[in-house]
Amino acid sequence: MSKHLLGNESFTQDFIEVTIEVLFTMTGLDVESSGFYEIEGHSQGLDVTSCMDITGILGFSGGRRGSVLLTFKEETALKAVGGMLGMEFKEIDYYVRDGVGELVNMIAGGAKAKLQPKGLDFELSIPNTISGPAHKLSAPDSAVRTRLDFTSPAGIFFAEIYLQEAVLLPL
Amino acid sequence: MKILVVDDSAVMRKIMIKALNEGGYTDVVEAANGLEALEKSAGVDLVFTDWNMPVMDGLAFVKEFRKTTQKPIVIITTEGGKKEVLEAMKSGINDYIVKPFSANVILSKIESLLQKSGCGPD
Ligand SMILES: [Mg+2]
Repeated sequence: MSKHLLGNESFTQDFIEVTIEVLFTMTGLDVESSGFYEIEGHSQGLDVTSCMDITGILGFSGGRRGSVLLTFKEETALKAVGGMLGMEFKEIDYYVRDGVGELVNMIAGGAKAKLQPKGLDFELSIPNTISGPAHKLSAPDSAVRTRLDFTSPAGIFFAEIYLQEAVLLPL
Repeated sequence: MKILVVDDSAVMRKIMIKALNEGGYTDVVEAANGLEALEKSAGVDLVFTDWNMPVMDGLAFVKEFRKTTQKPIVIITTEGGKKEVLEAMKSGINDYIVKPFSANVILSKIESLLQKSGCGPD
């Protein structure tokens, strides 16, 4: 039986579209999707944040539990948040962390709006941002994560979605 | 006209205040959550508030604010789902903006709200 009762592809495309729209509207960056794939359990070598400098993460609760993260190299984050404010940033500071958190917040909210009519609903938590070279985030062993790759004029970046499977109750 | 901008994101507050200033609205107060917004809401003519905030969220703030005044409130939110928009409407907001938005949406919302209340810009 498929591990994905709803099929990850049914939400992957929505997250891709929302990410491109949010980044373009808020930062002015022309973002393109460059692929997506699933990462199962302990795929340490594929830990997406370990080669990045700043990650915004937001948890889902309620209907479906899980999280979405957005992770950038420093120079990409500086350009993205710089674009939001029409300012130039030289280092990751309070505003850059805040801006990355708000981007992930908008992506999660936009995806929620697209997924609600498909019967996939969840509540949004408050976004958090983690920064520093080679920071690592771990997901539960059982988690199937979907990683989305993007390219932009300010550099490549990634998103990763983890949605817990729906629990089917016996009839 | 005094405008209150409520959002837990400092970047979003900056974006909104910049848009308001460019539109000629310079009397702007800001708050990072609903509770701070209530403390700063005296004499405010119009409110732009985020929904998803710590301490006190946008909906709880709207309900409290509505106990004392009918001044217009625009909720700015990532919660673009139909269910959420209806819930916000019931709580007493006048209009809503879904994030991501471009800055000029802020100014056009002000214009349409002023027209609805019968007092166009002077
Ligand atoms: Mg917020």
